[in-house]
Amino acid sequence: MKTVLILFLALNLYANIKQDMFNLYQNQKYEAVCTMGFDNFNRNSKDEEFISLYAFACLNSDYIDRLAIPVAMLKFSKESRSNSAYFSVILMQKKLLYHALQDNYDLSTLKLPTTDYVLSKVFDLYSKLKEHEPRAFYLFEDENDKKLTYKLYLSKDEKLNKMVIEEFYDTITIKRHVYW
Amino acid sequence: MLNTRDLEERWLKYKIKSYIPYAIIVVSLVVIILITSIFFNANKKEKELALVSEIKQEKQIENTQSVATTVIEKTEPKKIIVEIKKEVTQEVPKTINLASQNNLQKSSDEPFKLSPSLDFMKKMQHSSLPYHQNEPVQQQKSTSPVIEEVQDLGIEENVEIALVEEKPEKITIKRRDSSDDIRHIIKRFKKNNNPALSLFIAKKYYEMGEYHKAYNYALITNEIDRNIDASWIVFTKSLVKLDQKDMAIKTLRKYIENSHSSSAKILLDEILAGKFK
Repeated sequence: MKTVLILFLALNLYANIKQDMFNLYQNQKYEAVCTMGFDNFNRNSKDEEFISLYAFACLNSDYIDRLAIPVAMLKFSKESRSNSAYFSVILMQKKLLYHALQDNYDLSTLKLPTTDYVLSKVFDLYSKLKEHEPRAFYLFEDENDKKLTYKLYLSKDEKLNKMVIEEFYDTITIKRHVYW
Repeated sequence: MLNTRDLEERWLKYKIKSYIPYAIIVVSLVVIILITSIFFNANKKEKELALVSEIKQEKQIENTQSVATTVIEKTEPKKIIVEIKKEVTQEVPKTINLASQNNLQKSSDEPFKLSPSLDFMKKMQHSSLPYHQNEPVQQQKSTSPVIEEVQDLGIEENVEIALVEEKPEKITIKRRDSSDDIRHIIKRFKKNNNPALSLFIAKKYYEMGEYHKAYNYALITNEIDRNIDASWIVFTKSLVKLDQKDMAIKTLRKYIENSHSSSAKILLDEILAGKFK
Protein backbone atom coordinates (compact mmCIF):
# COMPACT_ATOMS: atom_id res chain seq x y z
CA MET A 1 0.00 0.00 0.00
CA LYS A 2 2.82 2.35 0.95
CA THR A 3 4.66 1.71 -2.30
CA VAL A 4 1.50 2.41 -4.29
CA LEU A 5 1.07 5.68 -2.44
CA ILE A 6 4.70 6.66 -3.00
CA LEU A 7 4.40 5.75 -6.69
CA PHE A 8 1.23 7.82 -6.99
CA LEU A 9 2.87 10.81 -5.31
CA ALA A 10 5.95 10.51 -7.50
CA LEU A 11 3.83 10.35 -10.65
CA ASN A 12 1.82 13.33 -9.50
CA LEU A 13 4.96 15.36 -8.80
CA TYR A 14 6.38 14.43 -12.20
CA ALA A 15 3.17 15.44 -13.98
CA ASN A 16 3.04 18.70 -12.05
CA ILE A 17 6.54 19.72 -13.04
CA LYS A 18 5.81 19.13 -16.71
CA GLN A 19 2.48 20.94 -16.47
CA ASP A 20 4.03 23.85 -14.59
CA MET A 21 6.70 24.11 -17.24
CA PHE A 22 4.08 24.09 -19.97
CA ASN A 23 2.04 26.83 -18.27
CA LEU A 24 5.15 28.95 -17.84
CA TYR A 25 6.09 28.35 -21.47
CA GLN A 26 2.67 29.58 -22.56
CA ASN A 27 3.26 32.72 -20.50
CA GLN A 28 6.56 33.15 -22.39
CA LYS A 29 8.67 32.66 -19.25
CA TYR A 30 11.25 30.77 -21.27
CA GLU A 31 14.21 31.27 -18.98
CA ALA A 32 12.26 29.93 -15.99
CA VAL A 33 11.19 26.87 -18.00
CA CYS A 34 14.76 26.26 -19.13
CA THR A 35 16.07 26.45 -15.55
CA MET A 36 13.26 24.25 -14.27
CA GLY A 37 13.91 21.69 -16.99
CA PHE A 38 17.63 21.75 -16.26
CA ASP A 39 17.02 21.09 -12.55
CA ASN A 40 14.59 18.23 -13.19
CA PHE A 41 16.21 16.75 -16.28
CA ASN A 42 17.52 13.52 -14.75
CA ARG A 43 14.10 12.58 -13.43
CA ASN A 44 12.43 13.13 -16.81
CA SER A 45 15.23 12.12 -19.16
CA LYS A 46 13.06 9.50 -20.89
CA ASP A 47 10.11 11.78 -21.58
CA GLU A 48 10.55 13.30 -25.04
CA GLU A 49 7.78 15.84 -24.53
CA PHE A 50 9.58 17.12 -21.46
CA ILE A 51 12.93 17.23 -23.28
CA SER A 52 11.41 19.04 -26.28
CA LEU A 53 9.72 21.61 -24.06
CA TYR A 54 12.97 22.15 -22.17
CA ALA A 55 14.92 22.52 -25.41
CA PHE A 56 12.52 25.04 -26.97
CA ALA A 57 12.51 27.08 -23.76
CA CYS A 58 16.32 27.11 -23.69
CA LEU A 59 16.39 28.05 -27.39
CA ASN A 60 14.03 30.97 -26.79
CA SER A 61 16.09 32.16 -23.83
CA ASP A 62 19.37 31.92 -25.80
CA TYR A 63 20.86 29.06 -23.76
CA ILE A 64 22.01 27.35 -26.92
CA ASP A 65 24.65 25.12 -25.32
CA ARG A 66 21.95 23.41 -23.28
CA LEU A 67 20.55 22.04 -26.55
CA ALA A 68 23.43 19.57 -26.81
CA ILE A 69 21.81 17.01 -24.52
CA PRO A 70 18.31 17.21 -26.09
CA VAL A 71 19.97 16.80 -29.51
CA ALA A 72 21.40 13.50 -28.33
CA MET A 73 18.30 12.35 -26.44
CA LEU A 74 15.53 13.13 -28.95
CA LYS A 75 15.40 10.15 -31.26
CA PHE A 76 12.41 7.90 -30.61
CA SER A 77 9.68 9.64 -32.62
CA LYS A 78 9.65 11.35 -36.02
CA GLU A 79 8.82 14.70 -34.44
CA SER A 80 11.65 14.37 -31.93
CA ARG A 81 14.15 13.50 -34.63
CA SER A 82 13.04 16.51 -36.67
CA ASN A 83 13.43 18.80 -33.66
CA SER A 84 16.78 17.22 -32.84
CA ALA A 85 18.04 18.05 -36.34
CA TYR A 86 16.67 21.59 -35.98
CA PHE A 87 18.47 22.14 -32.67
CA SER A 88 21.70 20.60 -33.90
CA VAL A 89 21.84 22.96 -36.89
CA ILE A 90 21.39 25.98 -34.60
CA LEU A 91 24.00 24.69 -32.16
CA MET A 92 26.48 24.07 -34.98
CA GLN A 93 25.85 27.47 -36.54
CA LYS A 94 26.40 29.16 -33.19
CA LYS A 95 29.72 27.37 -32.69
CA LEU A 96 30.88 28.11 -36.24
CA LEU A 97 29.89 31.76 -36.11
CA TYR A 98 31.66 32.22 -32.78
CA HIS A 99 34.75 30.51 -34.20
CA ALA A 100 34.60 32.76 -37.26
CA LEU A 101 34.32 35.95 -35.22
CA GLN A 102 37.04 34.97 -32.77
CA ASP A 103 39.54 33.40 -35.13
CA ASN A 104 38.49 34.83 -38.51
CA TYR A 105 37.49 31.37 -39.75
CA ASP A 106 36.12 31.44 -43.29
CA LEU A 107 32.47 30.34 -43.48
CA SER A 108 31.87 31.24 -47.12
CA THR A 109 32.68 27.74 -48.35
CA LEU A 110 30.14 26.09 -46.08
CA LYS A 111 26.63 25.24 -47.19
CA LEU A 112 24.50 24.32 -44.24
CA PRO A 113 20.75 23.98 -43.78
CA THR A 114 19.09 27.03 -42.31
CA THR A 115 16.26 27.71 -39.85
CA ASP A 116 13.92 30.54 -38.92
CA TYR A 117 15.92 31.27 -35.75
CA VAL A 118 17.72 34.64 -35.60
CA LEU A 119 21.16 33.03 -35.24
CA SER A 120 20.64 31.08 -38.46
CA LYS A 121 19.60 34.23 -40.32
CA VAL A 122 22.73 36.05 -39.14
CA PHE A 123 24.87 32.99 -39.91
CA ASP A 124 23.55 32.92 -43.50
CA LEU A 125 24.17 36.63 -43.94
CA TYR A 126 27.68 36.40 -42.46
CA SER A 127 28.65 33.39 -44.58
CA LYS A 128 27.79 35.38 -47.73
CA LEU A 129 30.58 37.89 -46.90
CA LYS A 130 33.39 35.59 -48.08
CA GLU A 131 36.95 36.11 -46.85
CA HIS A 132 37.45 39.52 -45.26
CA GLU A 133 39.37 41.44 -42.65
CA PRO A 134 37.82 41.21 -39.17
CA ARG A 135 35.56 44.14 -38.34
CA ALA A 136 34.48 45.70 -35.05
CA PHE A 137 30.85 44.94 -35.88
CA TYR A 138 28.69 43.76 -38.78
CA LEU A 139 25.35 45.20 -39.84
CA PHE A 140 23.04 42.99 -41.85
CA GLU A 141 19.71 43.83 -43.41
CA ASP A 142 16.97 41.21 -43.28
CA GLU A 143 16.25 39.76 -46.71
CA ASN A 144 12.47 39.87 -46.26
CA ASP A 145 12.01 43.04 -44.23
CA LYS A 146 14.24 46.02 -45.01
CA LYS A 147 13.38 47.74 -41.74
CA LEU A 148 14.75 44.81 -39.79
CA THR A 149 18.52 44.84 -39.24
CA TYR A 150 20.94 42.73 -37.25
CA LYS A 151 24.11 43.92 -35.59
CA LEU A 152 26.70 41.25 -34.91
CA TYR A 153 29.77 41.85 -32.76
CA LEU A 154 32.04 40.41 -30.10
CA SER A 155 31.68 41.79 -26.63
CA LYS A 156 35.19 41.82 -25.18
CA ASP A 157 35.65 40.34 -21.77
CA GLU A 158 38.66 39.44 -19.66
CA LYS A 159 37.76 35.77 -19.38
CA LEU A 160 35.69 35.05 -22.46
CA ASN A 161 34.50 37.14 -25.37
CA LYS A 162 30.78 36.95 -25.97
CA MET A 163 29.00 37.00 -29.32
CA VAL A 164 26.15 39.52 -29.42
CA ILE A 165 23.33 39.80 -31.96
CA GLU A 166 21.11 42.85 -31.69
CA GLU A 167 17.85 43.05 -33.61
CA PHE A 168 16.77 46.50 -34.76
CA TYR A 169 13.49 47.55 -36.26
CA ASP A 170 13.72 51.05 -37.71
CA THR A 171 16.71 51.82 -35.45
CA ILE A 172 14.78 50.67 -32.37
CA THR A 173 16.35 47.77 -30.49
CA ILE A 174 13.91 44.89 -30.34
CA LYS A 175 16.02 42.18 -28.78
CA ARG A 176 19.58 41.45 -27.72
CA HIS A 177 20.94 37.93 -27.86
CA VAL A 178 24.19 37.04 -26.10
CA TYR A 179 25.98 33.77 -26.86
CA TRP A 180 29.29 32.34 -25.66
CA MET B 1 76.10 -40.72 -4.06
CA LEU B 2 73.74 -38.47 -5.95
CA ASN B 3 73.18 -39.08 -9.66
CA THR B 4 73.64 -35.53 -10.83
CA ARG B 5 73.02 -36.27 -14.51
CA ASP B 6 69.66 -37.85 -13.80
CA LEU B 7 68.77 -34.98 -11.51
CA GLU B 8 69.74 -32.42 -14.14
CA GLU B 9 67.63 -34.16 -16.77
CA ARG B 10 64.65 -34.23 -14.44
CA TRP B 11 65.18 -30.56 -13.59
CA LEU B 12 65.29 -29.69 -17.27
CA LYS B 13 62.07 -31.58 -17.93
CA TYR B 14 60.44 -29.83 -15.01
CA LYS B 15 61.62 -26.46 -16.29
CA ILE B 16 60.30 -27.14 -19.79
CA LYS B 17 56.93 -28.23 -18.40
CA SER B 18 56.69 -25.03 -16.36
CA TYR B 19 57.11 -22.95 -19.55
CA ILE B 20 54.43 -24.85 -21.49
CA PRO B 21 51.38 -22.77 -20.35
CA TYR B 22 53.12 -19.50 -21.27
CA ALA B 23 54.10 -20.89 -24.63
CA ILE B 24 50.51 -21.99 -25.31
CA ILE B 25 49.19 -18.50 -24.43
CA VAL B 26 51.73 -16.78 -26.70
CA VAL B 27 51.03 -19.12 -29.61
CA SER B 28 47.25 -18.75 -29.28
CA LEU B 29 47.58 -14.94 -29.14
CA VAL B 30 49.67 -14.94 -32.29
CA VAL B 31 47.11 -17.15 -34.02
CA ILE B 32 44.23 -14.88 -32.94
CA ILE B 33 46.04 -11.75 -34.14
CA LEU B 34 46.81 -13.37 -37.47
CA ILE B 35 43.19 -14.46 -37.97
CA THR B 36 41.77 -11.03 -37.11
CA SER B 37 44.25 -9.20 -39.33
CA ILE B 38 43.38 -11.48 -42.24
CA PHE B 39 39.67 -10.94 -41.63
CA PHE B 40 40.00 -7.12 -41.53
CA ASN B 41 42.17 -7.07 -44.63
CA ALA B 42 39.53 -9.03 -46.48
CA ASN B 43 36.86 -6.51 -45.39
CA LYS B 44 39.02 -3.58 -46.47
CA LYS B 45 39.53 -5.11 -49.87
CA GLU B 46 35.81 -5.62 -50.27
CA LYS B 47 35.17 -1.98 -49.37
CA GLU B 48 37.88 -0.78 -51.72
CA LEU B 49 36.39 -2.86 -54.51
CA ALA B 50 32.96 -1.44 -53.79
CA LEU B 51 34.38 2.11 -53.78
CA VAL B 52 36.22 1.53 -57.06
CA SER B 53 33.04 0.20 -58.66
CA GLU B 54 31.08 3.21 -57.37
CA ILE B 55 33.66 5.63 -58.74
CA LYS B 56 33.53 3.82 -62.08
CA GLN B 57 29.74 4.10 -62.13
CA GLU B 58 29.93 7.83 -61.35
CA LYS B 59 32.45 8.36 -64.12
CA GLN B 60 30.20 6.52 -66.55
CA ILE B 61 27.29 8.70 -65.51
CA GLU B 62 29.37 11.86 -65.99
CA ASN B 63 30.40 10.67 -69.42
CA THR B 64 26.83 9.98 -70.47
CA GLN B 65 25.83 13.41 -69.15
CA SER B 66 28.56 15.18 -71.11
CA VAL B 67 27.69 13.26 -74.25
CA ALA B 68 24.05 14.14 -73.83
CA THR B 69 24.81 17.86 -73.45
CA THR B 70 27.03 17.90 -76.52
CA VAL B 71 24.28 16.23 -78.49
CA ILE B 72 21.76 18.81 -77.41
CA GLU B 73 24.13 21.68 -78.15
CA LYS B 74 25.27 20.57 -81.57
CA THR B 75 21.97 18.98 -82.67
CA GLU B 76 23.78 16.18 -84.45
CA PRO B 77 22.03 13.49 -86.55
CA LYS B 78 19.43 11.24 -85.05
CA LYS B 79 21.75 8.21 -84.96
CA ILE B 80 23.77 9.53 -82.04
CA ILE B 81 20.66 10.49 -80.14
CA VAL B 82 19.33 6.99 -80.64
CA GLU B 83 22.59 5.54 -79.33
CA ILE B 84 22.42 7.72 -76.26
CA LYS B 85 18.83 6.72 -75.72
CA LYS B 86 19.93 3.09 -75.84
CA GLU B 87 22.61 3.79 -73.24
CA VAL B 88 20.12 5.49 -71.00
CA THR B 89 17.62 2.66 -71.30
CA GLN B 90 20.32 0.12 -70.55
CA GLU B 91 21.32 1.95 -67.39
CA VAL B 92 18.00 2.76 -65.80
CA PRO B 93 19.27 2.98 -62.20
CA LYS B 94 21.98 5.40 -63.31
CA THR B 95 19.46 7.81 -64.80
CA ILE B 96 17.67 7.82 -61.46
CA ASN B 97 20.93 8.70 -59.81
CA LEU B 98 21.37 11.52 -62.28
CA ALA B 99 18.02 12.94 -61.42
CA SER B 100 18.75 12.78 -57.72
CA GLN B 101 22.12 14.42 -58.32
CA ASN B 102 20.44 17.24 -60.20
CA ASN B 103 18.01 17.67 -57.34
CA LEU B 104 20.89 17.76 -54.91
CA GLN B 105 22.62 20.40 -56.99
CA LYS B 106 19.49 22.50 -57.06
CA SER B 107 18.97 22.14 -53.34
CA SER B 108 22.60 23.01 -52.68
CA ASP B 109 22.06 26.37 -54.33
CA GLU B 110 19.22 27.21 -51.97
CA PRO B 111 19.94 26.22 -48.37
CA PHE B 112 17.50 23.67 -47.03
CA LYS B 113 15.31 25.19 -44.33
CA LEU B 114 14.57 23.19 -41.19
CA SER B 115 11.51 24.08 -39.19
CA PRO B 116 10.61 23.10 -35.64
CA SER B 117 7.74 20.74 -34.95
CA LEU B 118 5.52 21.84 -32.05
CA ASP B 119 2.85 19.17 -32.28
CA PHE B 120 3.90 17.75 -28.93
CA MET B 121 2.65 20.96 -27.30
CA LYS B 122 -0.81 20.39 -28.73
CA LYS B 123 -0.76 16.92 -27.18
CA MET B 124 0.29 18.42 -23.87
CA GLN B 125 -2.49 20.97 -24.16
CA HIS B 126 -5.06 18.23 -24.75
CA SER B 127 -3.74 16.01 -21.97
CA SER B 128 -3.90 18.91 -19.49
CA LEU B 129 -7.57 19.63 -20.18
CA PRO B 130 -10.19 17.95 -17.97
CA TYR B 131 -13.14 16.48 -19.85
CA HIS B 132 -16.47 18.18 -19.19
CA GLN B 133 -19.80 17.26 -20.70
CA ASN B 134 -22.79 19.51 -21.37
CA GLU B 135 -20.71 22.60 -21.16
CA PRO B 136 -22.81 25.72 -21.89
CA VAL B 137 -22.01 27.69 -25.03
CA GLN B 138 -20.14 30.96 -24.51
CA GLN B 139 -22.63 33.84 -24.41
CA GLN B 140 -22.48 37.50 -25.26
CA LYS B 141 -22.37 38.40 -21.53
CA SER B 142 -18.63 38.59 -21.74
CA THR B 143 -18.99 41.92 -23.54
CA SER B 144 -19.81 43.75 -20.28
CA PRO B 145 -16.22 44.04 -18.95
CA VAL B 146 -15.25 45.48 -22.32
CA ILE B 147 -16.66 48.87 -21.44
CA GLU B 148 -14.96 49.02 -18.06
CA GLU B 149 -11.57 48.17 -19.52
CA VAL B 150 -11.77 50.80 -22.20
CA GLN B 151 -12.73 53.40 -19.61
CA ASP B 152 -9.54 52.53 -17.79
CA LEU B 153 -7.57 53.21 -20.92
CA GLY B 154 -9.13 56.63 -21.28
CA ILE B 155 -10.73 55.90 -24.63
CA GLU B 156 -14.11 57.46 -25.28
CA GLU B 157 -16.98 55.36 -23.98
CA ASN B 158 -19.41 56.18 -26.77
CA VAL B 159 -17.12 54.82 -29.40
CA GLU B 160 -16.66 51.66 -27.41
CA ILE B 161 -20.36 51.08 -26.96
CA ALA B 162 -20.83 51.66 -30.64
CA LEU B 163 -18.17 49.06 -31.27
CA VAL B 164 -19.87 46.49 -29.08
CA GLU B 165 -23.36 47.16 -30.31
CA GLU B 166 -22.50 47.72 -33.95
CA LYS B 167 -22.75 44.24 -35.39
CA PRO B 168 -24.01 41.90 -32.70
CA GLU B 169 -26.22 39.95 -35.06
CA LYS B 170 -23.52 39.28 -37.61
CA ILE B 171 -21.53 37.08 -35.30
CA THR B 172 -21.79 33.55 -36.58
CA ILE B 173 -20.55 30.71 -34.45
CA LYS B 174 -18.78 28.33 -36.77
CA ARG B 175 -18.49 24.77 -35.62
CA ARG B 176 -14.97 23.62 -36.25
CA ASP B 177 -12.68 20.95 -34.85
CA SER B 178 -11.02 23.41 -32.51
CA SER B 179 -14.31 24.78 -31.11
CA ASP B 180 -14.56 21.85 -28.68
CA ASP B 181 -11.07 22.54 -27.45
CA ILE B 182 -11.90 26.19 -26.93
CA ARG B 183 -14.98 25.29 -24.90
CA HIS B 184 -12.86 23.09 -22.69
CA ILE B 185 -10.37 25.87 -22.20
CA ILE B 186 -13.14 28.35 -21.43
CA LYS B 187 -14.38 25.98 -18.76
CA ARG B 188 -10.92 25.74 -17.30
CA PHE B 189 -10.48 29.48 -17.46
CA LYS B 190 -13.70 30.00 -15.51
CA LYS B 191 -12.34 27.74 -12.81
CA ASN B 192 -8.88 29.19 -12.31
CA ASN B 193 -8.96 32.61 -14.04
CA ASN B 194 -5.54 32.03 -15.55
CA PRO B 195 -4.63 34.84 -18.00
CA ALA B 196 -2.64 32.40 -20.13
CA LEU B 197 -5.85 30.52 -20.88
CA SER B 198 -7.90 33.61 -21.74
CA LEU B 199 -5.05 34.78 -23.97
CA PHE B 200 -5.02 31.41 -25.68
CA ILE B 201 -8.79 31.65 -26.25
CA ALA B 202 -8.41 35.17 -27.64
CA LYS B 203 -5.70 34.01 -30.01
CA LYS B 204 -7.74 31.01 -31.12
CA TYR B 205 -10.81 33.13 -31.79
CA TYR B 206 -8.65 35.58 -33.73
CA GLU B 207 -7.28 32.74 -35.85
CA MET B 208 -10.82 31.55 -36.49
CA GLY B 209 -11.83 35.03 -37.63
CA GLU B 210 -14.19 35.65 -34.73
CA TYR B 211 -12.78 39.06 -33.93
CA HIS B 212 -15.50 40.15 -31.47
CA LYS B 213 -14.77 37.20 -29.24
CA ALA B 214 -11.04 37.61 -29.67
CA TYR B 215 -11.44 41.26 -28.64
CA ASN B 216 -13.48 40.34 -25.56
CA TYR B 217 -11.08 37.69 -24.33
CA ALA B 218 -8.07 39.91 -24.94
CA LEU B 219 -9.78 42.53 -22.78
CA ILE B 220 -10.47 40.01 -20.04
CA THR B 221 -6.80 39.02 -20.15
CA ASN B 222 -5.79 42.67 -19.88
CA GLU B 223 -8.01 43.05 -16.84
CA ILE B 224 -6.30 40.17 -15.10
CA ASP B 225 -2.77 41.06 -16.15
CA ARG B 226 -1.95 44.35 -17.85
CA ASN B 227 1.63 43.38 -18.69
CA ILE B 228 1.08 40.71 -21.32
CA ASP B 229 2.24 42.06 -24.68
CA ALA B 230 0.55 39.37 -26.73
CA SER B 231 -2.83 40.17 -25.22
CA TRP B 232 -2.63 43.84 -26.17
CA ILE B 233 -1.53 42.87 -29.64
CA VAL B 234 -4.49 40.51 -30.15
CA PHE B 235 -6.75 43.23 -28.73
CA THR B 236 -5.57 45.90 -31.17
CA LYS B 237 -5.44 43.52 -34.10
CA SER B 238 -9.05 42.57 -33.41
CA LEU B 239 -9.97 46.26 -33.28
CA VAL B 240 -8.41 46.80 -36.70
CA LYS B 241 -10.30 43.82 -38.06
CA LEU B 242 -13.50 45.30 -36.61
CA ASP B 243 -12.88 48.52 -38.60
CA GLN B 244 -11.84 50.45 -35.49
CA LYS B 245 -8.39 51.40 -36.73
CA ASP B 246 -8.29 54.76 -34.93
CA MET B 247 -9.14 53.21 -31.62
CA ALA B 248 -6.53 50.52 -32.17
CA ILE B 249 -3.89 53.19 -32.82
CA LYS B 250 -4.95 55.17 -29.74
CA THR B 251 -4.85 52.07 -27.55
CA LEU B 252 -1.49 50.99 -28.86
CA ARG B 253 0.01 54.44 -28.32
CA LYS B 254 -1.21 54.49 -24.73
CA TYR B 255 0.14 51.02 -24.15
CA ILE B 256 3.54 51.90 -25.67
CA GLU B 257 3.75 54.97 -23.42
CA ASN B 258 3.39 52.74 -20.37
CA SER B 259 5.27 49.63 -21.41
CA HIS B 260 7.72 50.71 -24.17
CA SER B 261 6.96 47.41 -25.82
CA SER B 262 8.92 46.88 -29.04
CA SER B 263 6.44 44.40 -30.51
CA ALA B 264 3.64 46.92 -29.94
CA LYS B 265 5.74 49.55 -31.71
CA ILE B 266 6.20 47.24 -34.66
CA LEU B 267 2.48 46.58 -34.86
CA LEU B 268 1.72 50.29 -34.61
CA ASP B 269 4.13 50.99 -37.48
CA GLU B 270 2.49 48.29 -39.56
CA ILE B 271 -1.01 49.66 -38.89
CA LEU B 272 0.10 53.22 -39.68
CA ALA B 273 1.84 52.11 -42.85
CA GLY B 274 -1.23 50.19 -43.90
CA LYS B 275 0.61 46.89 -43.94
CA PHE B 276 -1.75 45.40 -41.40
CA LYS B 277 -5.36 45.60 -42.48
